[in-house]
Amino acid sequence: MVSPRLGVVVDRGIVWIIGLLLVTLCACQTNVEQAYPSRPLTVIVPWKAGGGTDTATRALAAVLQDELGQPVNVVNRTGGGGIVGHYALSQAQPDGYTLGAITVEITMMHWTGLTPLDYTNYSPIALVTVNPSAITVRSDAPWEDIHDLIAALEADPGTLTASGTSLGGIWDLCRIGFLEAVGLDQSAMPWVPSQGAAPALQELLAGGVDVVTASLAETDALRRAGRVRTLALMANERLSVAPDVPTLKELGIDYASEGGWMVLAAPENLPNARLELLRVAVWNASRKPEFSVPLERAGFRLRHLTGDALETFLREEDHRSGILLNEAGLAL
Amino acid sequence: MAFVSWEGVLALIAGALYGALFGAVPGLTATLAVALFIPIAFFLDATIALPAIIAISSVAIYAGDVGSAIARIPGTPASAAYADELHSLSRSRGALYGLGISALGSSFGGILGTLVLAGGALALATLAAMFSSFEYFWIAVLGLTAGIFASGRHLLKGFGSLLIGLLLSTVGVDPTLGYPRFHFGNPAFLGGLDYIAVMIGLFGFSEVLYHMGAGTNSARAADASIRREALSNFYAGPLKLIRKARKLVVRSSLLGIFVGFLPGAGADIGAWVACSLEKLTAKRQKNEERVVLAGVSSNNAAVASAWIPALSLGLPGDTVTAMVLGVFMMKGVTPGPLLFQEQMPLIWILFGTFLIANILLLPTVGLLTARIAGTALRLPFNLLLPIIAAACVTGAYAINNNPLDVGVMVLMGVVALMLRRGGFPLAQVVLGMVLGPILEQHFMVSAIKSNWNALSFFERPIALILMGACVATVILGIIAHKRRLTGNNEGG
Repeated sequence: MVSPRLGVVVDRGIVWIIGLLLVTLCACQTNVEQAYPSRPLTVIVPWKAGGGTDTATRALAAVLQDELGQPVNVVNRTGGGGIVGHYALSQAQPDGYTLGAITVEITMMHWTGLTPLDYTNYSPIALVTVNPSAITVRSDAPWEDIHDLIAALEADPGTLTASGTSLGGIWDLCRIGFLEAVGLDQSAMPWVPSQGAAPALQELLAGGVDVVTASLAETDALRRAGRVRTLALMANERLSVAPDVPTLKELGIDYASEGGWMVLAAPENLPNARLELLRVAVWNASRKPEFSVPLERAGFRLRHLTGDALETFLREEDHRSGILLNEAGLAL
Repeated sequence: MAFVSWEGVLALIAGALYGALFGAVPGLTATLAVALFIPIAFFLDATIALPAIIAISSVAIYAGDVGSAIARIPGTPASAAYADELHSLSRSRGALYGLGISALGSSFGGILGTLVLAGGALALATLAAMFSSFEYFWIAVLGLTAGIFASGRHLLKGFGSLLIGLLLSTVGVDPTLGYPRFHFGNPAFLGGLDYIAVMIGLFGFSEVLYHMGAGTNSARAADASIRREALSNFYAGPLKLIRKARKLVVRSSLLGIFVGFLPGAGADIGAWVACSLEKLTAKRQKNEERVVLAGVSSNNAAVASAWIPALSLGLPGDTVTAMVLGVFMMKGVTPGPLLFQEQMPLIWILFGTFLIANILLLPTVGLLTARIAGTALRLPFNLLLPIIAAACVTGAYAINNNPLDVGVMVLMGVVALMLRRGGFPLAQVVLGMVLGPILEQHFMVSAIKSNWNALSFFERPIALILMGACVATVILGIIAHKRRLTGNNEGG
C-alpha cells in the first residue's frame, strides 16, 4: 500500500512537472513565432529527378540548409509538362516552409490554355539560373558560321528543320525569336517536336534534323566530344564554360533570350519578414563556391535577381512568351 | 588504382546495399536511387562517385526482380516480361532458386555487356548515331510484335492486353503536338498515367484482391520443400542451369546489348524480345527457368551497354546515364572519343567497377536479398497480403508524390482482376504502356519530317532491316504457334 502522504507528494510532483512542461511549451510556442525557420523546409521541383532544374535545385538546397540552419528537402512533383508541380506549390501554405522551383514554362502554359496559373500566383524569392539557347549543328554540316546558315535558310526556306523540345516549348520559342530577328518567317526552318534535348540531339546526329536550339548545358557534352558545332549563343554575354562560342549580338543579330530559367519561389502572400530572410539566405548560399563552381562547369549560368528587378524580369518574360506563342499560332 | 582504395570499396558496398533497398521496394527505382545520390556525388572524386553509381544501378535492376519473386510485382518494365515465370518458380522451388537464377543470370549478362562496352564502344556508338526516328519506330514495332508472341496460348488475348496498354498510354499531353487528351479537367492527369503505378496495381494489388476474393488463407503446398533452403539452391542449381543453357545466355545478352545501346527505351525492348524468342523456340512446355534466364541476362547486359552512347558520344541513353553525364561535366571530364584517349585510368575504373559489380556484388548482395525474400515467402499468406497491400499504396505514392497515382494503382488492380478472370496476360499491358509513347512519338516525328510521305519509312537501310525483323518475327511466331497448338492436341 502506498501511504496517502506519499500519494500527495507524487500528485504535487506531477502537477509541477506538467506545469513546467506547459511553461516550456509556451516558451517554445512564442519562439516558433519569432524564429523562422524552426523546422525542415520542403522545395518542390516540377520536373524529373536528374534533369537540369532538379540538379540546380538540389545543389542550392544543399547550401541553403547551412544558411537556414534547418534541413531543406527536395521533392519532385512531376507530370503534365510541369503543371502538376507548379500547381502543388501554388496550393501550399504561404508559411515559408514550402518553397519550389518555378521555371520559364509558368510564363507559357497560361497563354496556351493548359492552366490558369501564371507567375503572379507565387511570391518569387530569387532568380537562380538561366540556361541560354545555343544554335547547334552537326560537326560535318556545311555551314561555317551563323551567316552561312542564314544564307542557306534564305536561299531555300523550309528545307532545313530544327528540334530541341516539344512544339511551343522554350527552345521552339527561341527558334521563332531568332528567325524573326533575321527577318525570316518561322516556316523557313520548321520545328520537329521531340521529347527533350537528348532525343533531338540523337536526331541531329542521325541526320533527321539539321539544327538543334536547346541550351548550351544540354548540348555541351556532344560539343566537347566534337560531334556537334555550336554556331552561336542566344544570350547577352558569352558563357565562361564555352568562351569560344560567340553570342548572336556579337555576330550582328539583335536577339537574346534568357532561355530556360529557374526561380526559387514561395506560394503567393508569403509574409514579408520571411521573404526578406529567404532572399538574404539564397543570396549568401548562391555565392558559395561549392554551389557555383560545379554548376557553372556543367554549363549553367548563375544569375541573381530579386525584389523589383525580379518582378520586372518575370513580367517581361511573360510578355515575350505571349508574343512568341502567338506567332507560333499556339496561343489561345 | 583508386578503386582498390578503402573509399572505393566502401562506396561500392554502400552503393550495392542502397541499390538493393531501392530496387526491392516497389515504386522506388534505380533512377530515383541515383538521383538522390547525385548531390553527394558533387563532393566526391569522380573515381569514387562513378563506381558507386554503377553499383547502385546494377544491383537495383537485379533487385527489381525481388518484388516479382515475392509478390509478382516487377520492379522494371523489363522484369515484367518474365514476372509470372519468376514468381511461380519462386513459389514452387523457393525464392533462393528463383532469385539465384536472376542474380547469376544478371551477372553473366552484365559481364558480357561490360566486355562489349570495353571492346567495341566506339564502333557501336557510330552505329547508334545512325538511328533516327524511322529506325526507332521499327524498333518499337519489333518490341510490340515480340510482346504478342510472348503471350502463350492465346495470341489474340495477348494482342488485346497490348491494345489496352497502348490506350492507357494516350492519356495526358500528346508527346508531339502538346494537345491534352483524356484528362477530364484534372491537371494531375495531364502528365499521363505513370507506368510504374499501373504496374504495381496490375501485378501487386490485383494479387491482394484476388486472394481476398478467393479466401485463400491456407499455407501454400510447396512450403515444406521451401523450408529446406540451402546455399546450393542459390549458387549450384542456377550455375548448372546456366552451363546447360549457355547458348541461351549468350544469345539473350547479345540481344540486350544490341538493343540496349540505343539511346531511349532499349533495355526494356531487349528483355521482351529475348523472352519472346525463348518462348517461341522452346521445345518443351515447361521452360520457366529458361524464360527467366533469357530475361535477366539481356536485362543486365543492357545496363552496361546503355553507357556506350553516353561515354563515346556524350548522348545519354536513359535518365541514369544522363545524370552520369552531369557528374562528368561537373568534374570537368569530357565524354566522347577523347575520353578513351585522355582519361584511360577513369575508363579502366569504370570497366573494373562494372566487372566487380557483376562478379562479386550481384552474387553476394543477391543472396542477402534472396534470403530476406525467402523469409517473406514463408510468412502465412494472410499476413503477407496486408504487407503487400501497404507496399503497393506507399510504392504508388512514392513515384511522383502524387495521390492520384494511388487511385490509378487501385483501379488497375480491379482491371487486372477482370483481365485475369478472362485469361488475358497482364505483362503485355505494361509493354503497351511503355512502348506506346515511343511508337507514337517516333511515328509523328517521322511523318512531320517527311511531310507525311509513308514511303519514307522504307527508305533507310537500317529501317528496312528492322522491318524485315518484324516480318520474320510474325511469320516465325505464327508457325511456332501452330506447331505448339497441334503438338498440344496430340499430346492431350
